[in-house]
Amino acid sequence: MIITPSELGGGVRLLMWDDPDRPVNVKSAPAVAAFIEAARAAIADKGVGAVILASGKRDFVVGGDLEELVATHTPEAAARLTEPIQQLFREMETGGTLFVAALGGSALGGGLELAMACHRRIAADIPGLRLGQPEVGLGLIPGAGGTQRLPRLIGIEAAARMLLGGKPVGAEEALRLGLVDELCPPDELIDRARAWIESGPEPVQPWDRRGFRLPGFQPQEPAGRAFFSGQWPRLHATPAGLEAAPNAILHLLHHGCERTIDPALRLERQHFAALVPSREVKGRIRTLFFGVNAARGLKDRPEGQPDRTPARVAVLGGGLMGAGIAFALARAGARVDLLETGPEAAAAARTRVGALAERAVSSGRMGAESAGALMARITAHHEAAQLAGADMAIEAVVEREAVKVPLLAEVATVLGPDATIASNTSTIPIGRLADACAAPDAVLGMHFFAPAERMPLLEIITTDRTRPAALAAALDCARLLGKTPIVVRDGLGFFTSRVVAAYTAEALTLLAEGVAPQRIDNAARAAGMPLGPLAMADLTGLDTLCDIFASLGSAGPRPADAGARAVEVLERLARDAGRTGRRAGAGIYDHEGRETSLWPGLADLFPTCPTPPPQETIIDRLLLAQAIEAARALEEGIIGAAVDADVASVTGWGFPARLGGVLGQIDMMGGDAARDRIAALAAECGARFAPPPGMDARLRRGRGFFD
Amino acid sequence: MSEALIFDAVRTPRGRGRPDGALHTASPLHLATTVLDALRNRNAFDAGAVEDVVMGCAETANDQGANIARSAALTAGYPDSVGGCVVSRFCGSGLEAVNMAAARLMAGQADMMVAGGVEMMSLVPMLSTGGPIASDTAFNTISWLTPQGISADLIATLEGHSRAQVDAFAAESQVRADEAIRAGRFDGSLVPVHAPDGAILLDREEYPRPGTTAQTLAGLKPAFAGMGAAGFGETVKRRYPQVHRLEHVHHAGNSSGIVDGAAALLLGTEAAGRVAGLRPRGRILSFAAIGSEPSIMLTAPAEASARALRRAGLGFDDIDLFEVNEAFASVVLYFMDRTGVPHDKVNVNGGAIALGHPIGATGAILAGTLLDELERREARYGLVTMCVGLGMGVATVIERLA
Repeated sequence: MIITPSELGGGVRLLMWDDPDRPVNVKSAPAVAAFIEAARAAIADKGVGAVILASGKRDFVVGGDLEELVATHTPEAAARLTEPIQQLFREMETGGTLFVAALGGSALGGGLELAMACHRRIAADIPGLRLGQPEVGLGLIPGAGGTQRLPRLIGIEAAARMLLGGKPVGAEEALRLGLVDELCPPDELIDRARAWIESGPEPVQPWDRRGFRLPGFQPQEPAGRAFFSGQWPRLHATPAGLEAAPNAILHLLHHGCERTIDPALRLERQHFAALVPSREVKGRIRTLFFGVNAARGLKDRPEGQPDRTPARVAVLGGGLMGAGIAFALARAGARVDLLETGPEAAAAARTRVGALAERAVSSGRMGAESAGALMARITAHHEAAQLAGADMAIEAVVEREAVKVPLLAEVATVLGPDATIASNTSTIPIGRLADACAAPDAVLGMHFFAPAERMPLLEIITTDRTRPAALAAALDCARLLGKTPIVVRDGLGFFTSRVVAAYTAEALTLLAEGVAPQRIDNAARAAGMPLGPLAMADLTGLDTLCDIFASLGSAGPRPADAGARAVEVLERLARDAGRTGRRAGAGIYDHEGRETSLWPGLADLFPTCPTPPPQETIIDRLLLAQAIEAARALEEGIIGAAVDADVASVTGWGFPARLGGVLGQIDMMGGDAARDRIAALAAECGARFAPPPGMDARLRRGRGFFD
Repeated sequence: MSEALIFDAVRTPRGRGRPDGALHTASPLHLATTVLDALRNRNAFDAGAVEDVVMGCAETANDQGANIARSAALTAGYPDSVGGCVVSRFCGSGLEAVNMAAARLMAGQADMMVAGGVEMMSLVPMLSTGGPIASDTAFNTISWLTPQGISADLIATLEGHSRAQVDAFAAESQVRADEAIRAGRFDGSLVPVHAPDGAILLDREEYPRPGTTAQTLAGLKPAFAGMGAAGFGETVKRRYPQVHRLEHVHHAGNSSGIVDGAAALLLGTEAAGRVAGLRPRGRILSFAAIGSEPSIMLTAPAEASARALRRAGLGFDDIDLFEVNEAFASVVLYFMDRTGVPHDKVNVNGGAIALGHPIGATGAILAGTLLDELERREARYGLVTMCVGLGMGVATVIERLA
């Protein structure tokens, strides 16, 4: 039994939700059916005056069943998913029986919607309790009244924050917002619920009373109009403005809150039904839910390996990246030995980690005590011999083979043959680094993304020789750090660097053709990339990019280079004109602090073309260049699955999730449209846009990567 | 086709659109009534001959709601037979009222009309009527919501209008307005507004700041930088990807002033004028209204003018005087750049930067101002044009007769 009723006496019935087939309660089809039946029975039972809803799990109810949503292909089917529960919620609200939600743990998504359809919410005053509507993260909106009951409970402004941000709130904030009515110790929940019931409240929701007004402002008051007109630029100044869900949420908050609850719920259902079958939602769920969860579940972990979570990690190099990695490790509870070149550099590296800890404390993300304990786990050294005893080394020194090779060799010897040796290189083939170490099978790549303490992606690079134990250790370390690991094979630029390089190269080629840099960057942002590729190039450093492209081309010309003019542009800017990027104050743009302005000299190097290509063409070139290079990596076996490529692109360099990811964008366009567009680009721009054979075959059949 | 003749044009002085402004204790009804009263009293004609009173009003809410034109006609004591209707084309409402009234005369569907406009911005601020603009996020995505000040800064950014240029333009508006006021060029058309006790609330323009120079303006902070930082600095790049950074050059001193005011014109056919014994001062030759890209919003006057001129069989060179509403300095600079019209023919007595822009009334004010100056100079052709919210432009070509 998913829902177990029991009588508490005095006409109070307890409905206990405890799904025996799942670790948590979710609104799956059988659970919803069971709940509807139990709730209707209680409403119909003249002997029951009040119902207390509680959960037999740690949490209350935490969401819906995404498999069901993914299998929904028409708006009508999507509407049918939500109609019965919406209908039941109205029966609960207006049926004359009191409903009280006793929230012993978190209520998320459909769980919070259920709680909001109750006449009272009492929550356990415990630190881990979270209440929220996280649907927007998957490109969805709540479909069982969440967009309408939430603003009616806590006001439009706070509801917009929760619905658009998707971030749940804790118990105290929920009380302050009015999302819950009272807090109590977990073991008093039922007593408090019964006490409230005994006080004789009317079984009526505020929004069903005459003259109901939302807390705070109404949509058509000056404050309401000002709020909505301010939300639009906030949303559309960011890539989120391109997504359907946040726009639908704002629309629903405005139009729904102008109406009474029943038509408002109808409106929500119409938007929900439009969203669910969309490619945008499907792609987003495929990548950000199933893809990320599989990665975080360590799908590529070799079988039969014992837990190899490192307890003590040597981080080689305490620069920005090394400090970030050390901080993340120590935060996760590992002991960290931070190696630098001398005593002063070692102290400076430790200070760098300390600064990260201080920032975490000052922003309220970490308590001072935890920060102290974190720092106590970090020891800075300046001699490799002091690292003895570490389970794992992660090297994060300057991106030069001549520096990395001897250091890795020495550290591998100090740590011994059982330790895992990882390099954070973004481009140097791991095989060459492994050659230098006593046990090449212990060596792999662990490519972090800056800032390492925040970015979720960890690209793990294995060679033909990497032993299963080393891969298991790297994956266990990723889990310890809370990262999303993607396992790829060794090769020039691995996966992420070579695909990002294709993006950068296309932008630089457009620049060489005389397209103004801001047009290129604005096009990328218009497509939903968080940062323009040329602004990103200036941040990376054009001299560094010269080295990266030299390294990528070290085995001869690649298909991605056909017709690309990246190297030419970088050499003329960085080498000839001395414009090496933001650090120098002069790159593609002029830089002053964080402000950039157009450099008038650029047109002398690359004469402005009189009629720039339309923005759609620029966008296609920037995004499809990435898709084709990712497909090459897939067919070369560098990356194992298309969904891995999408996960890496979305979590690693901010490829628009609404497109599904770097390969999912082909499915989003549709195979036929993508084929035509890519053929046109190949004819116009060169063979770098010629898809590799497997992709070509897919496109010829009008297929993408996921159908 | 009948002719649309102008027999007279009157206006209130413009009062500062704030609680300390001289007209703030009046009401929109009182301002509109004042100009209708003045038209009748100055011309001693039978108001029963008027078919309809068409008034522009941008924000038809609260005290400006529920048909202020009919309300004012009744209050002014026009016979019950005189109807009233309100038109809203945002900032172009007053000129649209003139054009619509003229169209009815030309079409033979009326013999005599009153056209005008009223706006008390101190009482009914901009955006008071709500509507999908600004608050309906889905519509904002369609229209690519851009506040007017951001649009003006966008024009300046794209056209390379420097802060010095827009400030110099604004200072010149003040100089010209000051000269015109001191020479008494507005006196013939201004009607004083009275308080309930009979005292004069205002009988001269209240908004100008004589002595303003480009140097004094240079000290003012950009007014729309905050909006730029709130997201609009980024959103404008989606439609104008050639922009790297939006330059904020506009401020209170080079943008139109927020004021209270009203205006009205008496229009009619030649035959109706003869019957009423009225001498025509001018003739409305043609007009036009166009839409343009809504996010840059304010660039339509050049195209609207060109269309109206084509209808009149005239070219920009034939026009002796232009009134191009000074919504923002860059709007007029853009108009002059695009049309080649020299500054010495444009806004010769200053414009809304110096005198203020009571949104729904301004078009009617400018038509009267233009006619006065054509008469003073004994010039023949004049053109009024205005930029309008959500990307529109409206224009009217006038010929002096008297």
